[in-house]
Amino acid sequence: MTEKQITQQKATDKHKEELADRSKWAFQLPQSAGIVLALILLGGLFTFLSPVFMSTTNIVNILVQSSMTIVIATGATIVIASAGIDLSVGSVLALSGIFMAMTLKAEWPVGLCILVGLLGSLLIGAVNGWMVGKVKITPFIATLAMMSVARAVAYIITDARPIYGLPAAFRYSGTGKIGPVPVPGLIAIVVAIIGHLILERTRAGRNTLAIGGNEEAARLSGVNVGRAQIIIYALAGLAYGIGALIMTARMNAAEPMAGSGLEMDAIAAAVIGGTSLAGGVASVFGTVIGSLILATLRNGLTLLSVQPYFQQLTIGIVIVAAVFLDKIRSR
Amino acid sequence: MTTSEPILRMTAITKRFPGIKALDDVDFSLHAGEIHALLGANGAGKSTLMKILCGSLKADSGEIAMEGRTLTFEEPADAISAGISYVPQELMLAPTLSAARNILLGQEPLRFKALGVIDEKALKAQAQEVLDRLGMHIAINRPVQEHAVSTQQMIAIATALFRDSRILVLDEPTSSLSEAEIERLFAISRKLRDEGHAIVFISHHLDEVFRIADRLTVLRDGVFQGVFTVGETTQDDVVALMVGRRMDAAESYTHEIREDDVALRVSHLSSDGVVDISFEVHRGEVLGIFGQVGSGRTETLRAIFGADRPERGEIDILGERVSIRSPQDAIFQGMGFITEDRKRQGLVLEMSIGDNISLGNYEPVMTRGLVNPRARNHVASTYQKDLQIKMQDPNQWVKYLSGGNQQKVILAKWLNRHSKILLMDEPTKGIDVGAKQEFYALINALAEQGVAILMVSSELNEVMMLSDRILVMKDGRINGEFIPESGMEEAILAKAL
Repeated sequence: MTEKQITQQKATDKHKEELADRSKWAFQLPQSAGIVLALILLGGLFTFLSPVFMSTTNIVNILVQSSMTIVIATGATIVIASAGIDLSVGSVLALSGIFMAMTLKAEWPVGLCILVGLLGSLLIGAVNGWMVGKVKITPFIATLAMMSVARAVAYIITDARPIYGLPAAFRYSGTGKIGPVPVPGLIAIVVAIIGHLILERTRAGRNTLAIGGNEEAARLSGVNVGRAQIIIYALAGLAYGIGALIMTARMNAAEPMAGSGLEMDAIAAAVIGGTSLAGGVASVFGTVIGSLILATLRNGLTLLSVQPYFQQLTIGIVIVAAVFLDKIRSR
Repeated sequence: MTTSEPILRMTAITKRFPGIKALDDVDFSLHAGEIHALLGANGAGKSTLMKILCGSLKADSGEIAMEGRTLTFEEPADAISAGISYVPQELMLAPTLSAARNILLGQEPLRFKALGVIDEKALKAQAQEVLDRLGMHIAINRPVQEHAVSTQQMIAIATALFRDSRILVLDEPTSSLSEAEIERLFAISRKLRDEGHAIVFISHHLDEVFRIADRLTVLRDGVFQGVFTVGETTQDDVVALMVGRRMDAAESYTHEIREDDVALRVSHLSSDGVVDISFEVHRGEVLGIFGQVGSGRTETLRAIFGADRPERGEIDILGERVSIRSPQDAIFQGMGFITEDRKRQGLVLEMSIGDNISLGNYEPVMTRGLVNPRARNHVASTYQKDLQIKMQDPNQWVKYLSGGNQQKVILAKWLNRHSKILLMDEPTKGIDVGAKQEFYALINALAEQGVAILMVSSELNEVMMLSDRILVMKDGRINGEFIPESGMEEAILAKAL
């Protein structure tokens, strides 16, 4: 190397050293900065392409549409953090909505009906957790089975017919507003905050990340892995139930075919947000941004009259890009 | 025998990771026809330097030149094409494939090139040829996982040889080998050296290094300390360079033990690999368990700790019969277990030091029902001081610590549980000299505080120095019991073989 090259190299080294020291913690966090930027750029792009995108109504629209995703994706985040996966999201959500609708039709108090739906999805989640943690079935298979079973039960108990016409008090959860803020949005924020707190500050959450990072080490350090799995999937189930609340309230109907394919959205939002499918690293904040990105994409593409199948293609590409960038970043 | 012109020259290599400078302006050169040992404590930069040489990492600055030509490697395949082969400590073999398939992996002779059908006959012939060169006679069609670890090691070397690599890097090749197997490895290495290959030999075992190497390079904390011809330096000098100070002569530790103060009693324990084991450990005693790999030592500890279910056996703690059916039960009874494989069983690598110390044990750091990050970090800092853990910050992932410091984090985890009975499986394996000494002092301090320690080790010196009593295990049984005194080494070893 020439003198000049050596000097330049030393200058680059010093710069790299400074960057390395400053960003050393960044190497350890899901790269939230990157996806926030991506969201902003996406918003900018659609604003440029469509005159109606950046209107209050539309933005509120996006927030409401992302609310359900945020809620169920938070549940998925907890499962994925434990190095598991949950394919039963959509089916459990449908079943939970049906429980709520059936009890509403039987004129039980609204609060109780919601509770029944939430308890139902929580218990189904607990069964998932039991299969994974105690019977030791791999999460993919266990939740795949539950997906089929829950969906079948949904069709059976409704006789394959949707349940329409729910009381106004119930619908408020989906269509109401508190001040300028839509209720689903508030629910989503609360769920996200609680999800974050669970992962960061509770025993269950720390155990979840430990199990996802190294299950054997967690077990040998005294974590009751079987019991933890039950809690993890039960919490996820609860989240899906809250998602069911929002969807059923907004649609004013519970139908057995509801939620088909939602598991993909939930997982996609989590992965885009930086939660690693290998477990051990998770960010609820990232999941929120991931959900917003998905909702923005759908909304923007619809405004641009892009056909639904092309929308699906675009979203698929975005997911691959997100995982690809994640791999590069962690090299 | 070395030629005077280096075939490999690495100059001014520098490499940084977040928060750590792994290599600082390091030079390394290799001659054809030599065995060159690369020495240094854990974290000194040996593996990093070799990973750069073999193409799996890129240096931040510096140059690699082979026979005068500067080379850049974008990925390991480039290094392999240049004639450099790396045999890592965790042998990178496909366990279910045969030896022949492994040796020619990626370069299988093909019939009908377009279809990619492998020419089995040519494959076996070529594999056999390489193995013959090494003087090895093994079944080349059995899956490699069915061979002994030492044979697997040879197969890994054969893979490197098949590529006709001029430079072979062997990373800790002897850690799982018996004495006879080490001798065979050395014989093969010498043969390769005499044929003109250059071998880089990374090892912690100085006596082996001094037996086999022609020259050696010492690194410390990422800085080049010097290159020496083996005949012109001593082990003590090298250790001083590795550690930065002279080591004190080893002293042996003993403790006052009351015969009736039994902390742990194991009766007729049997499980897979353990046959009818019975013994006692007293409070404040260090009971060493010595034996060869596969003698049932780890299985014994795991059965006691509830990590595996034993077929038979009773455990008494402080005189009371207890039932241990899971690690949780064992921990509840006051036991702790420092496992043999810290990365796979002891730590969650991508979690912070603070999290690892509090793993599964959150009560001490919870306020108002929630885990308090500040309390958790405070706990970590306390252990950092007490155990002298070299780290930047309690939020740092343990992945970035050296082996010795990782082991200290694991010890801190059990100390935080106030374990009364500590089971340790090869606690100083893969740890540098300085950290080993610190660990010995810690183990001794714990025994003096009344902790009962059950320590498995395959290093005779270590076991003799630390233990009040030694049990020798062989083939799943206890084959001998000793109160260690100098001069007993051969007797103890005999009982283990």
